[in-house]
Amino acid sequence: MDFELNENEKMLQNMVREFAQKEIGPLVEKLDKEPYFPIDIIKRFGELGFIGIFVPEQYGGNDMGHLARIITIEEIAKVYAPLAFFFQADQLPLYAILSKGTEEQKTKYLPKLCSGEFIGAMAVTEPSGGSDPNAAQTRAEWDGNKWIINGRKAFITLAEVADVCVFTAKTDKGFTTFIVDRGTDGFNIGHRETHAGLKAIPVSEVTFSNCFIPKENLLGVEGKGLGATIATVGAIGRTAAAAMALGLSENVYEIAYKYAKERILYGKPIFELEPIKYELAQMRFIIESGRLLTYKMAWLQDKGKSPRELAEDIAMAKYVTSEGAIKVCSDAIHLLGAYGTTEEYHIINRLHDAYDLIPAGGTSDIMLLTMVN
Amino acid sequence: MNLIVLVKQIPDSEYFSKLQLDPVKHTLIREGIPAVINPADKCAIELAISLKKHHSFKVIAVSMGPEATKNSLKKAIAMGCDEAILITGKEFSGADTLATSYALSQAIIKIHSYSMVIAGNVTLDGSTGQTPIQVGEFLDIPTITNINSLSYHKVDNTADISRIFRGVEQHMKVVEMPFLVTVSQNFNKPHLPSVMDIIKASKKDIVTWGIRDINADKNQCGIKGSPTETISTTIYKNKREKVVIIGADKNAIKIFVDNIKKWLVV
Amino acid sequence: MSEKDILVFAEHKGQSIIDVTYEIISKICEVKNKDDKVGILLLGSAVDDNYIERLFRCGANTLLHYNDKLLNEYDLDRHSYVITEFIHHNKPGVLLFAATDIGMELAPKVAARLKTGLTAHITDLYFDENHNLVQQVPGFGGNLLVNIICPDKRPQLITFKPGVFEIKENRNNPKNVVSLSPPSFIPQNRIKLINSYVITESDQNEEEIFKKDIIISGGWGMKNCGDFELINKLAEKLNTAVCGTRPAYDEGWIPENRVIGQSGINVAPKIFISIGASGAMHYTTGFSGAKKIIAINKDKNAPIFEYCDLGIVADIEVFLSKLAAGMK
Repeated sequence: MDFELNENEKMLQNMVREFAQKEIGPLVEKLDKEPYFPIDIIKRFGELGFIGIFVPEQYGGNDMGHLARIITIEEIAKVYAPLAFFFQADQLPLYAILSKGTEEQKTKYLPKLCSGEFIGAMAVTEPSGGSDPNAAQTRAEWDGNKWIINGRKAFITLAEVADVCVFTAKTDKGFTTFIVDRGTDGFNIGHRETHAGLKAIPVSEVTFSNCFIPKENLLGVEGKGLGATIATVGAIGRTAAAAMALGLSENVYEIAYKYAKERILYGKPIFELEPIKYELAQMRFIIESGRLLTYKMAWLQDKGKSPRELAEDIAMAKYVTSEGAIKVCSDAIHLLGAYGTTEEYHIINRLHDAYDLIPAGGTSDIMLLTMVN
Repeated sequence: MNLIVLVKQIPDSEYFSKLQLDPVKHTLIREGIPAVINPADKCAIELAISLKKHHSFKVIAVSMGPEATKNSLKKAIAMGCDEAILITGKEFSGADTLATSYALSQAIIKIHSYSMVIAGNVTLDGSTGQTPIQVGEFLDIPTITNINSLSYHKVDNTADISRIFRGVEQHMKVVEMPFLVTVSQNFNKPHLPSVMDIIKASKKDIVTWGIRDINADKNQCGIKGSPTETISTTIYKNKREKVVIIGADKNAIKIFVDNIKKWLVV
Repeated sequence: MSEKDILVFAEHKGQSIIDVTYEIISKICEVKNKDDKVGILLLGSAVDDNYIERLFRCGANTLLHYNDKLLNEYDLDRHSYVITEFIHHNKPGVLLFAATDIGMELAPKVAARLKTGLTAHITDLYFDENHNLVQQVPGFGGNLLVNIICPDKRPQLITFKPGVFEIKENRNNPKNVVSLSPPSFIPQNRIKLINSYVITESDQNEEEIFKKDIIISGGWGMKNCGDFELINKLAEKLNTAVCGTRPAYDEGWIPENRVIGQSGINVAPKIFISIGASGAMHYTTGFSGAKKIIAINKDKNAPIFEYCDLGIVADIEVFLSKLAAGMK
């Protein structure tokens, strides 16, 4: 067993780290104070090849794989978690079309998604709940020529800025996935959500009222969309959330560690006090164990294991890292005493981000159920 | 036509203040300190790549160092260099700038045909700025240091160069190829390689040359070839008082003014 | 000449010999053995007599003067050729240069031609019992202090940065000039100088800076504090000079010869005040010789606070305005 990253992965890690520090770092202050969606940075993601990192070259990707994808998300989250969340959402339709798309669909959408020219979203969750996708109410009726979609989706990340959206709807045959292009009549973006965290990334409601979808926009096989959707959410949504939570925890740990070394109490840094040491040690433990689970999960993906086979590994990684992130953030806030929730240290923002990671790709309860099944 | 870029791998300068010495050997402990391409050398690479784009040069990165230097040479390739050569071997270790320049120039002589040698003006670790000039001397080619701009004219094989020297902006024309220039770390903004660049670089091999490959005299390389030697190294811990006060209130102003008065008299 | 002879390359600008040459002579006279002789190598015919006489007041024994106007204009190839020809025929133990634009390219080239050792911008030096100069240099941004010798090769070459050592004109050596003619063959310029524009004020300004007791330096943090206006005002009040970081030069707030640090000048005043600069290593290395350092920055985590005697964490605009008001 070789636990070392290979030469390429190390070069990638260094490059993403440098990029995040130089180009995202200077924006953190502003993004936390007055959140906005930084389209310029998204374009850079595309330019540098981050978005299509697991997509074959023929479709505009780099084919470096999932561990590379995870490393990229982690390094960006280390500097600013909300921007790492972009990948969690944008890569969902990318994966869905790559897995189940026709040649025409792949050629039409994948290169543009990889380059960042198109932004994508995946609309599965409905007001009735996301944890039980089969209970969805959005309907797709076939009128002989085209599909007519009616329904509502909730908490759809990036829908507001997306050029293409993969969504699920029930037909007579069952759960099915479709593609809708921005501007299609009857496809509307609803109100924007007001989550406390991940504010730089827009999350909104989406409605379909008599939205006409051409037959070439059917993705995959009619009625066989449930398995594909669960696979996509697992392979991309949950894994990205794990990488994000990991990077976020590392970011907050650095802040707490640095503070502990500088803050003087009773004549010496509080780092010298046992309770502080224990707190920091526990944070480190969460991070290191989370890292092992997350990297292993991605490594197995690259080995060709299907999302179904990896369901438990993915759930474990996501559970430990996302719950861990909440603990790291709240412990850090404790450690910083009166400075804990001040704007200056950004930890409270990261705590909010961490809370909003819990429902992303499936709540912790779902993760636990998956682990034991 | 070939463009040669000299590259040095150094410890990341962010860690300079955390450097430790081996208590027995009194040498620097480099383990655990990430290594990077010297910043001015990155600018040299960037200049070479932009010349390559406009005039279809072949860019060859050359470095002397231990095996680990391959990391930086891979990065040089990811940035766009076509080839990378590492001069390595125990005969080269412990070299001062003269011995380093000798080895580098022997490698360049072996490459044989080239239009330009581009180098960073100074490295952040040793900061002597001597090596590129000495390479130029060994190769007996015109050398211009700390340039501001360079434009190459393929039509007559000349280059227009400007630099600021002794407070004067000089504009020069080089009519004799090859020549050597150095650039500072402010010369340009080196680009980040993309994921695709990294993947392509990983598929390229770094060429390694030993002392025989470059026909070098072993007495002019490494410690043997170094007229200067280090007799002691100590970690410098600054002895500043580091009294820090917070705020711009009357008290702060008073302390500021009082200290100035006090220190001016000493 | 012999091992006991110390040669100093005198750098001139127009009619004057620049201050750092006298600093070098002063320092080497302090550390040399009694019977070591100091020779000054001067290329060119334009230098005024006053500056020549000053050489002897600082401790020079002989002026070796290539009194030929052909050498008035500096050229790397020509100058290094003449110097190495001289060294081949006379064999001093030591050859010293200033670490100026000229010195930093001339010294390495001469060292390579002579296949001898060169140590750059020393912070201190002394002779050991074998008449080797022990040369102390900072490394790794000043975090390391290294002692270097050149035990076998001669001459031992060293460069000195301006402003590190003091000029001491307390010797009254008799004026002793040896006129030399340049070698009959001198290589042609291989690089055509098309034209040149002076972009900084006269060199008088350049050298004044090293004489100031207080120097104020501003960094990029002044961007949101009204640029350098408050700094310039403070400098006027304190009768000091204004310097800055390289970003400050990029913004156009200071001329190029006022950039402090690795890519600029080194200063060692009684008091160095750094305002709105975070304290990157390549900047702080430029004022490590200052007797006392005051730093003002609004970020309490700025590295400069590890590198000062007095640090003030405050809104710069507020502090400087209050200071200006209080100093009336």
